[in-house]
Amino acid sequence: MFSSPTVRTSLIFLAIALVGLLFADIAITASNPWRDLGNFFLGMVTPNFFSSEGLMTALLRTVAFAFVGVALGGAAGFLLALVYRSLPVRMFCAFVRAIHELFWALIFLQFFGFHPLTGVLAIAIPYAGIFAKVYSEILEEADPDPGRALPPGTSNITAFLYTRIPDCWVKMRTYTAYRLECGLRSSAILGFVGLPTLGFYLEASFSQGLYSDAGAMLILFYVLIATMPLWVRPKLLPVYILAAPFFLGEGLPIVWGNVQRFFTEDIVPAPLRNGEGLAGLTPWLSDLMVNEAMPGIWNTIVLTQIALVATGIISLLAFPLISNHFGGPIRRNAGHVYW
Amino acid sequence: MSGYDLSGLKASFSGKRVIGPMSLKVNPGDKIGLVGKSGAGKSTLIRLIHERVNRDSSLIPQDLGLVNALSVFHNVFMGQLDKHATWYNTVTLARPFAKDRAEVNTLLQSLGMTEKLWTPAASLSGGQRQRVAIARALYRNAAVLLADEPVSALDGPMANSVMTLLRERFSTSIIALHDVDLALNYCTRIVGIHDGQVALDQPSADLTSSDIMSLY
Repeated sequence: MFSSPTVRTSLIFLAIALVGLLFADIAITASNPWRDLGNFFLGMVTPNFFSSEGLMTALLRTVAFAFVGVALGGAAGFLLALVYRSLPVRMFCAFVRAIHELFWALIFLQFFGFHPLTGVLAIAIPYAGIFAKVYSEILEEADPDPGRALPPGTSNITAFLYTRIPDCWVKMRTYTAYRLECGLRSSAILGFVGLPTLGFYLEASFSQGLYSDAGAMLILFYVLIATMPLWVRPKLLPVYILAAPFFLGEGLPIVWGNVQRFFTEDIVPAPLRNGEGLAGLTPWLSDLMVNEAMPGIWNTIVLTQIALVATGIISLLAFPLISNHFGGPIRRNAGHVYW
Repeated sequence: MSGYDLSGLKASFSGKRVIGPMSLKVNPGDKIGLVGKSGAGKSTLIRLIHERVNRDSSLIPQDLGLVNALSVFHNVFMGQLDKHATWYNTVTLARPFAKDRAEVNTLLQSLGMTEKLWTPAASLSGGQRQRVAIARALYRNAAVLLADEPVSALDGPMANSVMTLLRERFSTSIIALHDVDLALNYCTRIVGIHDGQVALDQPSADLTSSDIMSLY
């Protein structure tokens, strides 16, 4: 058994995770974590759906941000997928998708403030990078034979529409639907940094200890995603996409002074801004590297390794819940609760 | 059409010569049956000739080249994509024009599969798929037919009626066939390929099937 490369690799990962546990910064800081956890579950079973009239608005905003962000990201990603062979395009896409939605939101908050544009771009930009990569892979896999059988002199656009798109359509549609689901989660999470989506109310309820309110939001969000096949219909999609921009809310107006300040001051490294020149840049940069960046990167890697192995173990344990080989449809559908 | 003088035909795969160098003169009105055992280079020769005559030919490749997700209508319509503007083709993809619909329908009638007009190619049987590729070549309506085993998946009567149709609709044709009797019945000239070279080139009237069998 130990001679199998799969087993060996798995054991190496397990060992790395166990060693990582010794070094990981995972201290629990709450004074009474079990009581908090108990309250949380109590909140989940005693949801309060009528706490705040903002709840339905938050749900609506969550959906609106997801639709606008994913639609823009999908359109941009599709166009990028057509030129994905070019190295600069690939590098650009890798760069924008390497940065998480939340990070993009934090960056845009610096200059657009709480304007809807912040949330929309925070989703659309990294998603465009992801869509570009996956769409281009799907398009690559299209059967090349029909293209060779086309009459010579067929225009490129016609050839693309007749031989590539039909062959890729189902895969692209499935993947886009999946990304829309991810977009709903991203959109909800963006509330944590202050955008008017579900996360904002969730964060507020948690920090005030209103677990029943938080429970209601989590349940509503779960129902929203679980019922997606019912309300996301191909025929209704254009309606959703056209209507969504009108439900993003007003937000706060963009202060163009902030935009200017961000690019001319905030983003400029401190030594340069204070006129210390390049001489001051090196110590500042090494200080930043040693005291902030390196520990941060280290902790990220350690936690990622642990999380990876933990995910693997949970997936293995939960797999029977969703697999055809174990149990009937009812148990398998119940398994989707965890997704 | 003035015929083709195809010379210097050759092809290699990973360093190994598969075809030629050889020449083939195609006269207007020739209905050439390409015979030879499998692996002799018939398919490669068809592809080489297609590259040479390009625009003037209707092609039925061995792999058919159908788009599985598109309907029979659209697969047949693809035979004339170069004759329409891009906007026309794009509109057709969503909503075909009545004129084209009628034309394709008539064509499919002659191949006995009108009821399949809007069936996606993916859900057709092998013989039906082959007839769609044949319909596409007929719809293209070029001067020369280049076909690679066009009736291999059709039963006897259907194979014969399709070969008759191809003979009527194309004045000049080059058809690779493994069925020697079909070649003798529907072609006016037999070209036998052996080891990538022309091993036989005679009017079919002068040949019997045993003459051809020596190639196998």
